[in-house]
Amino acid sequence: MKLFQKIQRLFSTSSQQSGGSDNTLTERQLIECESEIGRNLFGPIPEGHQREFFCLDQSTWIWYEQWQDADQRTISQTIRYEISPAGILKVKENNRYSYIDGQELENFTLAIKLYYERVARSIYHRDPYTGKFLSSTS
Amino acid sequence: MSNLSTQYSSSDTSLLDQASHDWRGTGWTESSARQSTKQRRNSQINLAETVSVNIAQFRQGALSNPDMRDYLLVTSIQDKKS
Repeated sequence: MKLFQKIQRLFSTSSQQSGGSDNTLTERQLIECESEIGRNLFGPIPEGHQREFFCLDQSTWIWYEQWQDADQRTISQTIRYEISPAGILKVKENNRYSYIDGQELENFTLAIKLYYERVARSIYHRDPYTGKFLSSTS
Repeated sequence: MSNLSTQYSSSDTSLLDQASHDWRGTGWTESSARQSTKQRRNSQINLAETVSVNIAQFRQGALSNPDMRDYLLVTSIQDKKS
């Protein structure tokens, strides 16, 4: 539960609060920029929903969605995907976990491939295939 | 996250059995099909590992390179806030 709470805190404050004390860039700001791309990979976000999808670190991906139910209660769902040589483990908040397979694995890998290509080019200004800086920033 | 849900059903197994039957005599067996599926799965896991490591490296590179940091700060962060 600790990680899920950390993720909820990550997106519960404004971007201004997430900046460094001076003019420095923080990892959190980069994740927010990446998630802006990630959240739009899955089609339109329903009105009133907040969605985040991002690479947390070199072996973890996060899906986070928050919305309000009919009684105006805030509902959120966080899913963590852990990448390992044995497979991609999907972990839900109630500690239900399973390796994804079949169409779900296809969809997940397609999503992170798109994420990677877009993030590499538009945020880090890198060629996603070579890792080299794109000519406009070199 | 329904769009990432597994949508396998028992009929998939039947289709696989039928496919292996139809391809009998061509050298393509159910074992080949399963091997191919396994290779596809391994390839997807490798892709996920590579992509995740590369992103983490790009991120660290951006944080440790002052020029890149300044560039990103101007182009990505300030544009986003405006």
